[in-house]
Amino acid sequence: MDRRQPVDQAEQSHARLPRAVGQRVARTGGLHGVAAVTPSGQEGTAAARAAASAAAEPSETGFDTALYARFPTRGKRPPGELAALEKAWQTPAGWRRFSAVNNNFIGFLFIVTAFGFFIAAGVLSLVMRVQLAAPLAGIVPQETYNQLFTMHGSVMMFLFAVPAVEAMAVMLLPQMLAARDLPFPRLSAYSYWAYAIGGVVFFCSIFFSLAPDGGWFMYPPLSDGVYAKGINADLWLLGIGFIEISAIAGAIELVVGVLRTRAPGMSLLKMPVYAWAILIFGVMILLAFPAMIMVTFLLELERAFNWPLFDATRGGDPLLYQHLFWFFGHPDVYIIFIPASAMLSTMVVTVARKPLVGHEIVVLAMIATGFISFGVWAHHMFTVGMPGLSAGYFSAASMAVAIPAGAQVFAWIATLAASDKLQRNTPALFLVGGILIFVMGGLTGVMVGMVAFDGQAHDTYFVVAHFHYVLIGGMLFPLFAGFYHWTPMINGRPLSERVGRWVFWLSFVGVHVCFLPMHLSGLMGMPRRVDTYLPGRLWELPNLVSTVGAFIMAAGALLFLIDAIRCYAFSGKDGGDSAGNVFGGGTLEWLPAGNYSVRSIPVVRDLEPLWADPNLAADVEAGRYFLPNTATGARETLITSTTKAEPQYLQIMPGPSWWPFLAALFTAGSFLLLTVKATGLSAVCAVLTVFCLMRWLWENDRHLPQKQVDVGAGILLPTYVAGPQSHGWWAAVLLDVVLGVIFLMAMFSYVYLFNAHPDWWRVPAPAGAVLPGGLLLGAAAALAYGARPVMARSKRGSGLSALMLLLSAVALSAALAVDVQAWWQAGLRGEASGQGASVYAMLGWHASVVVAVVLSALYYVLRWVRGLAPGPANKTMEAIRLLTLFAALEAAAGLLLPRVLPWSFT
Amino acid sequence: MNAAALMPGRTLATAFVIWFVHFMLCWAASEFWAEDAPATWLAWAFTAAALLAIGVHGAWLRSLGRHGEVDQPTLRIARGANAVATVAVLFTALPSIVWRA
Repeated sequence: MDRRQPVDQAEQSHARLPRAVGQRVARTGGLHGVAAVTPSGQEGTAAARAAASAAAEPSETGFDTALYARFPTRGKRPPGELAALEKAWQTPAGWRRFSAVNNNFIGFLFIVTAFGFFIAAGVLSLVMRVQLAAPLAGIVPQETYNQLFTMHGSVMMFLFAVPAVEAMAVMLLPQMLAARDLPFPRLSAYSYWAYAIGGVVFFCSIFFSLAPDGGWFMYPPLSDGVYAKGINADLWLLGIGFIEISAIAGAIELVVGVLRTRAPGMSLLKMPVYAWAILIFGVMILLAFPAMIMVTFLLELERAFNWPLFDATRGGDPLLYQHLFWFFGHPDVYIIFIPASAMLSTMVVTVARKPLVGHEIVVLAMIATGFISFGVWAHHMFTVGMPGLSAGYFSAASMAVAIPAGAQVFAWIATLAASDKLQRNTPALFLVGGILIFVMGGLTGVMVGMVAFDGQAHDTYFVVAHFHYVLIGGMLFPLFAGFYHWTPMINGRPLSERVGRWVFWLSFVGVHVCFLPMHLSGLMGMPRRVDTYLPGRLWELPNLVSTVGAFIMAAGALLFLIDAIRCYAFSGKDGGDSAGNVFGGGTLEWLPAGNYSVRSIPVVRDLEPLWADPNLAADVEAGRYFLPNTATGARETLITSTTKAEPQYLQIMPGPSWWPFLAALFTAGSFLLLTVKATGLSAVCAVLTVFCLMRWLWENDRHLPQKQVDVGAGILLPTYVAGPQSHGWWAAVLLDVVLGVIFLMAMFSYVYLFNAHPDWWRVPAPAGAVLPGGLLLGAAAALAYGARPVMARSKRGSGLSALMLLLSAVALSAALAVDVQAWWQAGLRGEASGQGASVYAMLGWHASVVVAVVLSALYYVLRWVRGLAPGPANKTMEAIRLLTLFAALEAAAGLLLPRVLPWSFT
Repeated sequence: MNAAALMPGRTLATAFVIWFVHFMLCWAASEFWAEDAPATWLAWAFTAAALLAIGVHGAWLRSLGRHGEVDQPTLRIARGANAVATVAVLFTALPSIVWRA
């Protein structure tokens, strides 16, 4: 990482942060001639003392934290200021509403859509339960049943669980951090539309008997071209891959949001537990989901081109699929659980009206859970015959991960126990019920974490019971608690308390009636994924009871749906004007808010700021903190530093746009048309996608005439920053991390197959490509690296840097061509062996990155031609430069690995 | 972005990264030398190295605390992470001690 200050990197005067920030405007009489800056004689106040204490600590950015003592300011704000703010953040009306990008609009749509998928997948499960209620029932044929359980699992995991927690984060996080919005609102919109369009098309496949039927994990060989003919499996592979892209886009947004848009003063340790969870959640998605992208890519390659990546008879290995799938699949459970657990932690505090017991331990537990969850994936594979020692390692890690999860449970119980004025309401019921159900699921999780026990229970209904307890207790109940808890924040009025109690008890009783007997039927030997069973095995009664339980749960969900429609359809709040803090929450999402989020961005000094300062809400609403207006007339938010949340610059945010929607539409079209082999139309959609993405980005990255603006109390901040200080730079780095992990998975596949079937490594690596390939890659890296200093130092730097990026992309393409040609001439063929398949899979993935680099370079040249690539630095150049450097590194790894392992050359 | 900005992330994540690397190396050895003695010996070697790395990291944390380079709450969590990682490393190594092919 380049740690120099932006001014040194960019040689750009307004990037000189430490000197630019924290300076008071020359006029001392007040802001805009009306508002007064809090005089220095306020040192006796709590705010001033806190500011003085903050100032005593070394600054992270050079910002003078003593300036926090100026807040809250005094006096009335200028008339028309609020109206201007409202106008800038207005959501388009009518059909133009679909071009809206505000987090409260997109987040709400996200939640509604995810809940819709939950109901739809729940209906599928009811059909399955009816089929299993009695032996030899003939409600649905076996083929349909296979599609039902595949779609139930896939929809619940990919279209409900992860998107629902992500949706809650999109909705809650900016309010909780007192940001105006997430840092890339159009990316949120793209993420949502990609998910909604792709998800609906994917789900509708079941109505045309095109739904996949190989289980939600789609193991080969069951899902390969031999055993799964037709397009059902392709629909799953491309549909899920597409939805993963949406999840990753959302995760980048959320991670940057947590790290860079917190309210001033909200240091990492004053950050709500929920924000910590979203940070961990986002990082986990960025590290785990690439494995899923790679495994779907590999399986599609096998199906489309007959490359034997998972075919053991030609040097592939079906266990490679399982390793890659579960490297994503098991962390995915924690990806769902961690944010939901943090919702519990947040609500427990409000319900108990006490600070969270062991706040730091809970944070540590979430970090530990996030890490250890990456060491447990193969406990899903205990019965595949892996080495005993390997199984031992995964068993140990599986049990270890229960410890941090348990620490959180104890923290919740202790917080509730410490309270002398517990709130007994529907959210409280759901959170206590959720804890109980989760603990029960966690205990059976420790049981199946033992290799010997798992050998008995594997693929039986015991496992079905276990993971439903974990997911319902660890995610569904917290989510329902969250619906009840935060509805007043969204809607201005709560859901019905009376109906809520009915919903809770129906759900709670239904869960146990449905899933508790499954432990028994599983231990009695009933396998999963069977569409029927013979009578006389004593499975009839537990199955009948489970079916009754499923309908009790469904009644609860239906009741909730009716109440939610009633509550939201007759909302008195359009876009939001009152927080409706009916439960007495202490975190910032309970501040009065509108489309612009909070009226002014407060200085945060506590974990529960609303409890610590009873006047905070009134002061924020009166505009007495940061950014009480729109300083430039556009949508804006404060970008703060990563650790101590010191104000760094003002981000100008993009407004409503159709481009994210259209880009998502064409991306979905491109992916889904591939499934029906309409390659021409798919290519057209891909081109249109690229056009929409470029058109969307075209409007971003503009320099404003105002280099600095007053963000409140006379504090000046720059309006444009490039390089590592910029939030866009962080997003670019995260994208490169994702691409890097995807390629690591490709390299892992190569090494794994070589270790499993070295006898199929029959083509010696062509050494002749190393020198020319290496030189070209060196040139590509040097050109990309030099683009920034050339732009900053040369008079014609802008054009030269564009040329250098273009030449770099050409060199990368040439290096790829050299490598591919060398392998081809050496006689390596993708369909011939695991060696050929894994080498060409690596190169194929790298080729897609090179295409992205070439398109980006062309886009940048176009920007330069139109005068939109000004020096001495700009964010677009920084992002493309990072991508190009990454691509060069990736190419070097792809060039060397197959030549080093095995060590044989021609 | 200065070094101080990255310090909390580094202090919190390092111990767990050591655990993860240790875990992956132990697992890779057990896959390459399935049921063979080198997998066990390597696991012990990796465990010794991981414990050493955690010790060095602990000393670094102590030094940070003495010089006031990281605030106390972050330091407390980082020390907790170090303790958890130590237990996790030992727990991971346990199968290599008890397992007999």
